[in-house]
Amino acid sequence: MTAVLTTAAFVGVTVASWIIGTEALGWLPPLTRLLMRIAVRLLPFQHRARYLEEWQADAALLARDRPFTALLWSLGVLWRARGLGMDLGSPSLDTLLVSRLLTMARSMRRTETQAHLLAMGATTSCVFSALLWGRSALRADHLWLAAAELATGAFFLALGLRTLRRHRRLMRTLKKQ
Amino acid sequence: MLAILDVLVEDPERHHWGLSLAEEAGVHSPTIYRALARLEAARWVSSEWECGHPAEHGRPRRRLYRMTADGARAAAELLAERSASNSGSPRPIGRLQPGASRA
Repeated sequence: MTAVLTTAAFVGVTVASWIIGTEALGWLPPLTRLLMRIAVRLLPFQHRARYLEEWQADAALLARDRPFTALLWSLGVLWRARGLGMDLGSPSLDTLLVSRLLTMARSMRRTETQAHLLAMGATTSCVFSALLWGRSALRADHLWLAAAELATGAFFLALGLRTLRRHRRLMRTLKKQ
Repeated sequence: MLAILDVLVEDPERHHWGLSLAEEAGVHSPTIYRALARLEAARWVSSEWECGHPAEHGRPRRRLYRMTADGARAAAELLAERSASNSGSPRPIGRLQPGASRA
Protein backbone atom coordinates (compact mmCIF):
# COMPACT_ATOMS: atom_id res chain seq x y z
CA MET A 1 0.00 0.00 0.00
CA THR A 2 2.80 2.38 1.00
CA ALA A 3 4.68 1.57 -2.21
CA VAL A 4 1.60 2.40 -4.30
CA LEU A 5 1.09 5.67 -2.48
CA THR A 6 4.77 6.59 -2.85
CA THR A 7 4.68 5.82 -6.58
CA ALA A 8 1.46 7.82 -7.00
CA ALA A 9 2.99 10.75 -5.10
CA PHE A 10 6.15 10.55 -7.22
CA VAL A 11 4.14 10.51 -10.46
CA GLY A 12 1.94 13.36 -9.19
CA VAL A 13 4.92 15.52 -8.23
CA THR A 14 6.63 14.78 -11.57
CA VAL A 15 3.54 15.69 -13.58
CA ALA A 16 2.93 18.82 -11.47
CA SER A 17 6.52 19.99 -11.83
CA TRP A 18 6.41 19.32 -15.58
CA ILE A 19 3.21 21.39 -15.89
CA ILE A 20 4.61 24.20 -13.74
CA GLY A 21 7.90 24.10 -15.66
CA THR A 22 6.16 24.27 -19.04
CA GLU A 23 3.96 27.11 -17.84
CA ALA A 24 6.94 29.02 -16.47
CA LEU A 25 8.88 28.51 -19.71
CA GLY A 26 5.94 29.91 -21.64
CA TRP A 27 6.01 33.05 -19.53
CA LEU A 28 9.74 33.65 -19.89
CA PRO A 29 9.83 35.15 -23.44
CA PRO A 30 7.08 37.75 -22.83
CA LEU A 31 8.68 38.64 -19.51
CA THR A 32 12.03 39.06 -21.26
CA ARG A 33 10.46 41.35 -23.87
CA LEU A 34 8.71 43.35 -21.15
CA LEU A 35 12.00 43.92 -19.31
CA MET A 36 13.61 45.08 -22.56
CA ARG A 37 10.78 47.52 -23.17
CA ILE A 38 11.18 48.91 -19.65
CA ALA A 39 14.96 49.15 -20.09
CA VAL A 40 14.68 51.00 -23.37
CA ARG A 41 12.63 53.72 -21.69
CA LEU A 42 15.74 54.68 -19.76
CA LEU A 43 17.44 55.69 -23.01
CA PRO A 44 17.05 58.97 -24.89
CA PHE A 45 14.04 58.91 -27.20
CA GLN A 46 16.01 58.84 -30.47
CA HIS A 47 17.97 55.72 -29.50
CA ARG A 48 15.10 53.61 -28.20
CA ALA A 49 13.98 51.87 -31.40
CA ARG A 50 17.51 50.88 -32.33
CA TYR A 51 18.44 49.43 -28.96
CA LEU A 52 15.10 47.69 -28.51
CA GLU A 53 15.59 45.82 -31.78
CA GLU A 54 19.23 45.07 -31.05
CA TRP A 55 18.54 43.76 -27.55
CA GLN A 56 15.53 41.75 -28.64
CA ALA A 57 17.56 40.14 -31.42
CA ASP A 58 20.25 39.09 -28.95
CA ALA A 59 17.67 37.89 -26.42
CA ALA A 60 15.86 35.92 -29.15
CA LEU A 61 19.13 34.19 -30.08
CA LEU A 62 19.73 33.33 -26.44
CA ALA A 63 16.15 32.27 -25.78
CA ARG A 64 16.22 29.60 -28.49
CA ASP A 65 17.92 27.12 -26.21
CA ARG A 66 18.41 29.07 -22.97
CA PRO A 67 15.19 30.97 -22.14
CA PHE A 68 16.13 31.47 -18.50
CA THR A 69 19.54 32.90 -19.48
CA ALA A 70 17.71 35.27 -21.84
CA LEU A 71 15.62 36.47 -18.91
CA LEU A 72 18.76 37.03 -16.83
CA TRP A 73 20.32 38.83 -19.80
CA SER A 74 17.34 41.15 -20.04
CA LEU A 75 17.55 41.80 -16.29
CA GLY A 76 21.19 42.72 -16.79
CA VAL A 77 20.24 45.00 -19.67
CA LEU A 78 17.66 46.70 -17.45
CA TRP A 79 20.28 47.10 -14.73
CA ARG A 80 22.80 48.69 -17.11
CA ALA A 81 20.41 50.73 -19.26
CA ARG A 82 20.60 53.89 -17.14
CA GLY A 83 24.38 54.04 -17.58
CA LEU A 84 24.05 53.57 -21.32
CA GLY A 85 21.36 56.25 -21.40
CA MET A 86 23.69 58.68 -19.64
CA ASP A 87 26.45 57.92 -22.15
CA LEU A 88 24.14 58.45 -25.08
CA GLY A 89 23.22 61.90 -23.81
CA SER A 90 20.05 63.89 -23.57
CA PRO A 91 17.42 63.87 -26.32
CA SER A 92 17.59 66.52 -29.02
CA LEU A 93 14.97 69.28 -29.21
CA ASP A 94 13.10 67.79 -32.17
CA THR A 95 12.76 64.41 -30.49
CA LEU A 96 11.50 66.15 -27.35
CA LEU A 97 8.91 67.91 -29.49
CA VAL A 98 7.83 64.65 -31.13
CA SER A 99 7.59 63.04 -27.72
CA ARG A 100 5.45 65.94 -26.45
CA LEU A 101 3.17 65.76 -29.49
CA LEU A 102 2.70 62.02 -29.04
CA THR A 103 1.81 62.49 -25.37
CA MET A 104 -0.68 65.19 -26.34
CA ALA A 105 -2.24 63.01 -29.02
CA ARG A 106 -2.72 60.21 -26.51
CA SER A 107 -4.18 62.65 -24.01
CA MET A 108 -6.61 63.95 -26.62
CA ARG A 109 -7.84 60.50 -27.47
CA ARG A 110 -8.45 59.79 -23.80
CA THR A 111 -10.16 63.13 -23.31
CA GLU A 112 -12.45 62.53 -26.26
CA THR A 113 -13.60 59.17 -24.88
CA GLN A 114 -14.12 60.77 -21.47
CA ALA A 115 -16.25 63.52 -23.01
CA HIS A 116 -18.45 61.01 -24.85
CA LEU A 117 -19.01 58.96 -21.70
CA LEU A 118 -19.87 62.03 -19.67
CA ALA A 119 -22.31 63.28 -22.29
CA MET A 120 -24.04 59.88 -22.24
CA GLY A 121 -24.24 60.02 -18.43
CA ALA A 122 -25.75 63.49 -18.52
CA THR A 123 -28.35 62.51 -21.14
CA THR A 124 -29.40 59.43 -19.17
CA SER A 125 -29.73 61.49 -15.99
CA CYS A 126 -31.87 64.09 -17.76
CA VAL A 127 -34.16 61.45 -19.30
CA PHE A 128 -34.72 59.78 -15.93
CA SER A 129 -35.38 63.14 -14.30
CA ALA A 130 -37.97 64.00 -16.92
CA LEU A 131 -39.67 60.62 -16.51
CA LEU A 132 -39.81 60.92 -12.74
CA TRP A 133 -41.09 64.46 -12.98
CA GLY A 134 -43.84 63.50 -15.38
CA ARG A 135 -45.02 60.48 -13.39
CA SER A 136 -45.05 61.81 -9.87
CA ALA A 137 -45.44 65.49 -9.67
CA LEU A 138 -47.50 65.09 -6.48
CA ARG A 139 -45.07 62.99 -4.46
CA ALA A 140 -42.42 64.86 -2.56
CA ASP A 141 -39.88 62.00 -2.39
CA HIS A 142 -39.96 61.57 -6.17
CA LEU A 143 -39.50 65.28 -6.59
CA TRP A 144 -36.39 65.11 -4.47
CA LEU A 145 -35.15 62.21 -6.51
CA ALA A 146 -35.81 64.10 -9.73
CA ALA A 147 -33.98 67.10 -8.35
CA ALA A 148 -31.03 64.88 -7.40
CA GLU A 149 -31.03 63.37 -10.89
CA LEU A 150 -31.09 66.82 -12.44
CA ALA A 151 -28.23 67.93 -10.23
CA THR A 152 -26.23 64.85 -11.22
CA GLY A 153 -27.00 65.52 -14.88
CA ALA A 154 -25.89 69.11 -14.52
CA PHE A 155 -22.69 67.98 -12.81
CA PHE A 156 -21.93 65.51 -15.59
CA LEU A 157 -22.68 68.15 -18.20
CA ALA A 158 -20.33 70.60 -16.51
CA LEU A 159 -17.64 67.93 -16.41
CA GLY A 160 -18.24 67.10 -20.07
CA LEU A 161 -18.01 70.74 -21.07
CA ARG A 162 -14.81 71.18 -19.10
CA THR A 163 -13.33 68.13 -20.79
CA LEU A 164 -14.35 69.42 -24.21
CA ARG A 165 -12.76 72.78 -23.47
CA ARG A 166 -9.57 70.98 -22.45
CA HIS A 167 -9.74 69.00 -25.68
CA ARG A 168 -10.06 72.20 -27.76
CA ARG A 169 -7.21 73.84 -25.87
CA LEU A 170 -4.98 70.84 -26.55
CA MET A 171 -5.95 70.89 -30.22
CA ARG A 172 -5.08 74.57 -30.50
CA THR A 173 -1.67 73.98 -28.88
CA LEU A 174 -1.05 71.06 -31.20
CA LYS A 175 -1.88 73.16 -34.27
CA LYS A 176 0.47 75.92 -33.10
CA GLN A 177 3.31 73.45 -32.64
CA MET B 1 36.96 47.21 -22.69
CA LEU B 2 40.40 45.79 -23.53
CA ALA B 3 38.99 42.30 -23.86
CA ILE B 4 36.43 43.62 -26.33
CA LEU B 5 39.09 45.49 -28.29
CA ASP B 6 41.17 42.33 -28.33
CA VAL B 7 38.39 40.39 -30.02
CA LEU B 8 37.62 43.21 -32.44
CA VAL B 9 41.25 43.73 -33.43
CA GLU B 10 41.81 40.03 -33.99
CA ASP B 11 39.90 40.30 -37.26
CA PRO B 12 38.87 43.91 -37.97
CA GLU B 13 36.94 42.92 -41.10
CA ARG B 14 34.68 40.52 -39.27
CA HIS B 15 31.19 41.55 -38.17
CA HIS B 16 30.23 40.96 -34.57
CA TRP B 17 26.98 41.44 -32.72
CA GLY B 18 26.54 42.24 -29.04
CA LEU B 19 25.91 38.74 -27.76
CA SER B 20 28.66 37.03 -29.74
CA LEU B 21 31.15 39.70 -28.79
CA ALA B 22 30.23 39.41 -25.11
CA GLU B 23 30.71 35.65 -25.22
CA GLU B 24 34.01 35.85 -27.08
CA ALA B 25 35.38 38.63 -24.90
CA GLY B 26 34.12 36.93 -21.76
CA VAL B 27 32.64 40.13 -20.37
CA HIS B 28 29.53 40.45 -18.26
CA SER B 29 27.04 40.41 -21.06
CA PRO B 30 24.92 43.59 -21.00
CA THR B 31 27.91 45.87 -20.30
CA ILE B 32 28.91 45.17 -23.89
CA TYR B 33 26.32 47.62 -25.23
CA ARG B 34 27.72 50.48 -23.21
CA ALA B 35 31.26 49.68 -24.31
CA LEU B 36 30.17 49.42 -27.93
CA ALA B 37 28.28 52.71 -27.68
CA ARG B 38 31.45 54.38 -26.43
CA LEU B 39 33.58 52.83 -29.13
CA GLU B 40 31.05 53.89 -31.74
CA ALA B 41 30.94 57.44 -30.38
CA ALA B 42 34.73 57.50 -30.63
CA ARG B 43 34.42 56.15 -34.20
CA TRP B 44 36.53 53.15 -33.39
CA VAL B 45 33.75 50.87 -34.52
CA SER B 46 30.93 51.30 -37.00
CA SER B 47 27.64 49.50 -36.93
CA GLU B 48 24.91 48.54 -39.35
CA TRP B 49 21.78 46.42 -39.37
CA GLU B 50 21.92 42.83 -40.49
CA CYS B 51 20.65 42.32 -44.05
CA GLY B 52 17.22 40.89 -44.64
CA HIS B 53 13.79 41.32 -43.15
CA PRO B 54 13.10 40.26 -39.53
CA ALA B 55 10.43 37.88 -40.85
CA GLU B 56 13.09 35.99 -42.82
CA HIS B 57 15.21 35.47 -39.72
CA GLY B 58 12.29 34.79 -37.41
CA ARG B 59 13.61 37.37 -34.93
CA PRO B 60 14.50 41.08 -34.87
CA ARG B 61 17.54 42.16 -36.87
CA ARG B 62 20.95 42.07 -35.22
CA ARG B 63 23.13 45.13 -35.05
CA LEU B 64 26.50 44.25 -36.53
CA TYR B 65 29.68 45.96 -35.39
CA ARG B 66 33.01 46.19 -37.16
CA MET B 67 36.22 48.04 -36.47
CA THR B 68 36.93 51.12 -38.54
CA ALA B 69 40.38 51.52 -40.06
CA ASP B 70 41.26 54.29 -37.60
CA GLY B 71 39.83 52.28 -34.75
CA ALA B 72 41.79 49.17 -35.67
CA ARG B 73 45.02 51.14 -35.83
CA ALA B 74 44.42 52.98 -32.57
CA ALA B 75 43.26 49.84 -30.78
CA ALA B 76 46.28 47.87 -31.98
CA GLU B 77 48.55 50.63 -30.70
CA LEU B 78 46.75 50.74 -27.38
CA LEU B 79 46.91 46.98 -26.95
CA ALA B 80 50.59 46.88 -27.89
CA GLU B 81 51.28 49.68 -25.43
CA ARG B 82 49.37 47.74 -22.79
CA SER B 83 51.22 44.52 -23.32
CA ALA B 84 54.56 46.41 -23.27
CA SER B 85 53.82 48.09 -19.95
CA ASN B 86 52.11 45.27 -18.17
CA SER B 87 52.15 46.98 -14.80
CA GLY B 88 50.33 50.18 -13.76
CA SER B 89 46.72 51.14 -13.41
CA PRO B 90 44.36 50.76 -16.36
CA ARG B 91 44.03 53.76 -18.62
CA PRO B 92 40.62 55.41 -18.31
CA ILE B 93 38.13 54.79 -21.06
CA GLY B 94 37.95 58.57 -21.57
CA ARG B 95 41.02 58.18 -23.78
CA LEU B 96 38.64 57.08 -26.51
CA GLN B 97 36.88 60.43 -26.51
CA PRO B 98 39.28 62.90 -28.17
CA GLY B 99 38.48 63.61 -31.77
CA ALA B 100 35.15 61.86 -31.53
CA SER B 101 31.93 63.66 -32.17
CA ARG B 102 28.71 62.09 -31.08
CA ALA B 103 26.24 61.55 -33.89
